[in-house]
Amino acid sequence: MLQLIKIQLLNLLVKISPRNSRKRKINYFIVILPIIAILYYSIIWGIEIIDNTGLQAIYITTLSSFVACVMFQIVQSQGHLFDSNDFESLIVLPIQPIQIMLSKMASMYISSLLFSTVIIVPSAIYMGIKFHLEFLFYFYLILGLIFLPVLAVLVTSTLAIMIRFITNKIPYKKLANNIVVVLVYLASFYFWYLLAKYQNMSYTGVKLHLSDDFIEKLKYLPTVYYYAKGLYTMNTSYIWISIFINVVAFVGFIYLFNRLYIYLNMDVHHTTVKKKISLKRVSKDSVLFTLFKKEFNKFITNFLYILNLATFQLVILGGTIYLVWNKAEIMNMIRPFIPMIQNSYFIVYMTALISSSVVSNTASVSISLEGKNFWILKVIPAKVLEILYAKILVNVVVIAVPGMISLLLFYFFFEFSVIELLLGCFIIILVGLLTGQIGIIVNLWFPKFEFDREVIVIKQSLAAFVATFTGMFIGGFNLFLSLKHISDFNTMSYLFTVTVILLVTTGLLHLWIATIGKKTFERL
Amino acid sequence: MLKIENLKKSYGSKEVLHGIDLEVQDGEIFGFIGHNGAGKTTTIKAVVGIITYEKGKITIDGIDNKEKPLECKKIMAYIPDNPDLYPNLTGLQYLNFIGNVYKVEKHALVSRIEHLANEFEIYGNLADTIGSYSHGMKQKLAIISALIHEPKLLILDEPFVGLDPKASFKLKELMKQLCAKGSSIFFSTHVLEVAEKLCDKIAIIKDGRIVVSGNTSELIEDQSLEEIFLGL
Repeated sequence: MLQLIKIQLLNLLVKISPRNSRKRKINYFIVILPIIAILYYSIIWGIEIIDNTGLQAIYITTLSSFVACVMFQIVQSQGHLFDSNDFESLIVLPIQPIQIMLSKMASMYISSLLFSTVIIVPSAIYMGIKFHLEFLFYFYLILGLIFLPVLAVLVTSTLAIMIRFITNKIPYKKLANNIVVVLVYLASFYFWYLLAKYQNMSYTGVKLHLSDDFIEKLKYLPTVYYYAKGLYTMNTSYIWISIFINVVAFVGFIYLFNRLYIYLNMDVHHTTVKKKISLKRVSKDSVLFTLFKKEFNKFITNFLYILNLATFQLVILGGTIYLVWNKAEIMNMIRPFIPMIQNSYFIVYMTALISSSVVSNTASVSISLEGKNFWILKVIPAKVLEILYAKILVNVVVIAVPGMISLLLFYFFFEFSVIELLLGCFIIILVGLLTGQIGIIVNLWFPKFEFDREVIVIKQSLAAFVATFTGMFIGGFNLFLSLKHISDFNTMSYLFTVTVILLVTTGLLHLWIATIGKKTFERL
Repeated sequence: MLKIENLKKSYGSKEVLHGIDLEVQDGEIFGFIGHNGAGKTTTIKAVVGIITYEKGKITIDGIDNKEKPLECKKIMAYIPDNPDLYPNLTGLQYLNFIGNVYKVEKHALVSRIEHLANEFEIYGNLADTIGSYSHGMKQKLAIISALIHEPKLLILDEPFVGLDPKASFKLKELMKQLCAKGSSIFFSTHVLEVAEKLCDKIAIIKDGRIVVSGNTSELIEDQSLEEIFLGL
């Protein structure tokens, strides 16, 4: 059993620490950067919460660590439990099948433990210093923390198994599976809502106090509740109750699901639905459109791809609908804070739209995602520019379509000119083009063709990180510049200035792609 | 049809091809034989444009594949030893994709898909996603996609691995038919009996060098290809 866990962890480490020193440095960077970012925010946030709520902050940080683990593992658990390539190699070994499941869950547990530690420990140290807590506090903090991630792992594993069990029995199971995963992921945002609601966030100088209702609700997560209560009251019996529940839940989970887990894994690769073939579906398209269709098909059939790289577009669309729906309320909210924008709603909206759009970058992983299929692009008689622009075009569609629908909604409710609307639409297309070009350049620099699950490229590759951070930087810079100089522009001059900037930038990037980018692609 | 002159390729400081020379004439089936790691796949990948090479010249139908790679790609087709095809596309979508990229007319594309898919007995699976295909089915789909634009030069890397006996037989028949129409075939194989019976010419590569090359009948004389190969 330990050997199996060791192999799973070694597998994880080999991915992080390959022999190639350049790749190793990149991987360390990819792993360490988000940890530092989470650590930084957990310290800042933790201090703020502790300053406001005192020792009660332990309830919030404990719940936060649970929510973070659940949200991370909901996406990961499907891959860990069902999409690993080594199941067939392991099942033929003379080992108990239950050990396979345990070894898979072990790697989920390790990453959850890391998350919990990064979120809870810094604020707990600050709490300990601030309130002069004894050594016993730290001892039980660590002891309970070792068991705390178990609940998140069990919840996400149960969901993963149930989702797979239900979707395995229906047609288009992969699609159904992806939809359910996305819905569960979105549903997990409820926890954040719960946190925000019961934290009673207010910065009016009044000290925050957690409502009894919040703590009552927390009882639905008994291990989280008892762990936090044990540390808050320094009554160690609560910590032991938390540990006991975790252990019992774990044993119960194994008893209930180990056979189902093996059955589902054995069943997972078999198709059951026979579809009818119709040659009428064969179409004659241009090379560029054919490549685009292939790219777009990849995008829409992979919900992780949509979830990670187009969430902002859905947020923009949802945000616009909310904005339009609550026009009067929003206006009242904005006016007292920024009186100068009363005649520049469109500029503010366009600025927000552009800044949100540049973060969505499907092109940044599109070359990497070719993976083992990359040979096809190398041997077909398609121009390199056609191949690259087919990928960029997907990004244009992903950004421009929801962006233009949002603009149209905005237009009907906020009455600005048709010229402004058309220029706005043109700008949003250019933003899609610019973002796609940046994504392609980044992916040409940092390709990653070796992976066992696509989520590794989409969420954890250097190209994805660089493109996201570049987008955030450009978005932030745009927000800063536009809002700082908002009084210097009227709407039309703003739109023309942005259009010119985008035309020049996309033109320059096109030159790079057509020359250096083309050669870089040929060398891959 | 295919001419390779003094082809040299290195991976870092290690030279893996030390000056390959060979020529495939129009209408010829050319077998490329060698042990694992001899340089067969590297040579093939250089020909089809998957990897670059430092020295030498490769021409396809008189066109330099470094200077005009697109022109070369238009007239040839390649089937790798392990055909990783787009798993999210259906078999039909993939063939449609390849047909459009090679600019095959719609009518011709439909009739060739129907004909070849029936020949290889995967017509009923064309609506399924490639991700659900077995290795052999993927191999068959790759073969159909390679034949769909009727290439002048067909390059295959271990084409018979994973095929059932019926599909192997069918492929051999199609290879002969293609050559009868004037196309050429260059393929690597470990199956010496197939090479012996099917090929007009054979070249044996060892440690990145061609050690034997010539007409099959002249090379073999009263020996078997296996004896020649093992004797090297």
